[in-house]
Amino acid sequence: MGYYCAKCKYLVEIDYGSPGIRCNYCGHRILIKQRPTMVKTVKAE
Amino acid sequence: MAIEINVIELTERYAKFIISGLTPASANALRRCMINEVPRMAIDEVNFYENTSVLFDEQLALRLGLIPLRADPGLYVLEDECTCEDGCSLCQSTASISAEGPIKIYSSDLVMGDENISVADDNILIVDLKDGQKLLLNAIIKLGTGEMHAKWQNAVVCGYKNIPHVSITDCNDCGRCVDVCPRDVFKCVDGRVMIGDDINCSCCNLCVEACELDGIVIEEDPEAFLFKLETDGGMTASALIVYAVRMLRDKAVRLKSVLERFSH
Repeated sequence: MGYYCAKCKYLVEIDYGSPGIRCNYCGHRILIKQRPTMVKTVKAE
Repeated sequence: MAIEINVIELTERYAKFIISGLTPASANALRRCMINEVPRMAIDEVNFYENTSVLFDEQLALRLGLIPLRADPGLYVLEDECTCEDGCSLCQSTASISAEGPIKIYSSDLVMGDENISVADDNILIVDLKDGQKLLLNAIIKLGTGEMHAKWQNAVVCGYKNIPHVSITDCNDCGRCVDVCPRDVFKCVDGRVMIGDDINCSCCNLCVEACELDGIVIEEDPEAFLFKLETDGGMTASALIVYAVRMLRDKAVRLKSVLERFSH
């Protein structure tokens, strides 16, 4: 499970060693965490 | 004193009736029973398989939970009272949504797993899916009561007041009471002040203060109550009243048997 760019939807591999994170493809700084494939159960209240 | 019921207005979702010969405690017990204790079905848990809509899973789950469902509560049992361990057809049912945008998903798009359950209103908008957005979920419907959560509350409006009696003992037909009364209890006919429908009186006493002669008397009947009741369509108003009275009766019978056991 990774992160994808909010602008170009490119799946970004994050290098935790380097300072700051950004899209490797377009340089956009907003990344969105991918939704896990497991079923999510939520109480309706 | 015998209990008398006089129905003033009765539609599928609304009831207005006068019940007399009750103590205030009994009237309040009936009100609380209609609000809190008559069970109904509502969505309690939602399993999300996919949700790329603009709403978070939690927001969607709350919206789904508040959709009024129409079902006979006698067909199901409460989860705590069921003998099963992880859900059976007696204590729960399912509903599902599978859609891909662009589409607006309404309450009528819920696919019920049980033919005895249906939505009370078809036109409640759940979410608006834009192009490419997907929603795939499975909801679990359970029986519950209003004291657990408001989504299981049958009576959305339920209140009562004592029946007011307005009388005029002295009058000079000045018409001030007609002007100040917000409920139009008084009316002026040919220059004479008369009492119209005093059941609408809210006992605000504005007319009593306005009258220079102190000629207006407002009294409340302590044993007669005007009930107003409104449901959200999960159950008809008349069925709700009957169900609540039956529950009260069963409770009284249980209390009596317990007290008898103690007295021996």
